[in-house]
Amino acid sequence: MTRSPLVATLIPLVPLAALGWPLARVINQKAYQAIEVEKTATAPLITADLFVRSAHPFSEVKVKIGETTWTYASDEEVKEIHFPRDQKATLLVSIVWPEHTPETAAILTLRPHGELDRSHTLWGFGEVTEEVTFTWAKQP
Amino acid sequence: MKLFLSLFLTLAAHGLDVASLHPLITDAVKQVGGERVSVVEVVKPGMSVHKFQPKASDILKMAKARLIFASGKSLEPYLQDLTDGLQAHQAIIEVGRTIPSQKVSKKDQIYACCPHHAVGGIDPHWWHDVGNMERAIRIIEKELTKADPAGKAIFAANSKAALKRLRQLDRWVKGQVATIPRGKRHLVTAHAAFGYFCKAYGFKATFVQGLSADGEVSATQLATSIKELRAEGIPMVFPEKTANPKILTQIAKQTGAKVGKPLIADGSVKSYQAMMQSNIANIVAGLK
Repeated sequence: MTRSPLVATLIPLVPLAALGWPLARVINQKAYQAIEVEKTATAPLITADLFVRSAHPFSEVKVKIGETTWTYASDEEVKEIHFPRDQKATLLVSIVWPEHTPETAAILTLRPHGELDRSHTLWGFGEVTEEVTFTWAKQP
Repeated sequence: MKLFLSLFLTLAAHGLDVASLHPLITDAVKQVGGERVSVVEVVKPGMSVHKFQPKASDILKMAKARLIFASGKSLEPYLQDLTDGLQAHQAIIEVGRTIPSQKVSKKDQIYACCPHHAVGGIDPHWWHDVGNMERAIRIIEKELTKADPAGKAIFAANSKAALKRLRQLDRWVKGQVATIPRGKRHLVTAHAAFGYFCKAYGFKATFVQGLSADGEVSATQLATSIKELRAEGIPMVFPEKTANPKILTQIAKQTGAKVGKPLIADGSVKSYQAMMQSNIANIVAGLK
């Protein structure tokens, strides 16, 4: 039995169509469009060591800068912290001393990379929370 | 994978191999690393840290080191060449890089420690402020921990102990300085190598041995120094160990100043603690 001329013509085109279809999908892709990301103003971060030295042992210290909080366990005295590179750093510091600790003092020393140390003394008993701002002169 | 396996096996076998290009850094790395770290002392106590240039044998000695500790602040002008020749597993750590710098003022540039630091240079002698050595200890702790995370607890404990010793030393230095009347806290040295010390401990600094561009002392400069010292009525000048005291002695003789016991400026000694104690003892003895 012989095929009709139409079928005979179409059969050789089948492999071509099989190859062409995926190729067409590749070729007809829409141009790449980057997803628009909301731009936020983020200053580069500066790395610093933050020391907490207390005259009497503390039970916990929390230091918050912006949305980030660092918690010091009772046996810790230094942590590496990061904050936006600016001429100032504002820290919310909470210190908890164990019950029956007399009024005491803790020295907070911030030692940023490339900047001079800044220190502040906190006095109190039980629990003390204080906002501390350290400033640096603008580099010439 | 092979590299990680070989690194792990190396660490497990005998700890971390590091090298040091400055004797004071060697002391600090040994204090923080303890027995977990093996330190190759490329620049040994007594060698000139200003003039040292690594030879092929020194580079060979450093081949096993994962970390190569340098003082930084351009004290080692050969660091770029060394960096170019590093192997994949090696890194150079400039300990002084993030320590706040003090510039040798334009007026004092002729008194810089060496021609290399004379032009708008940053004073490389950061270790004369104990607070800066505390920073160095923390930098070393962090770098050792990065290279050998399993040793974290050991490095942290050693660092804490080293910081405690440094705080005691700082208190002792301040106590000794307090015995010198305020008006006499004036440190006169040959070169501008004690800027960090003077700023940290409240001394006025004067330098008297100016260098010309080629590192020589000019006659004009010598005459200017003598004139200034006479005008200021300086009672004592301090020479530096490892530097020729001849010119300083000549300046002192012509101004009527006494020559004090020598100070250690370049830190080419085995122990930081001992260096600070020796310098302070000599300053206090001379100025009290």
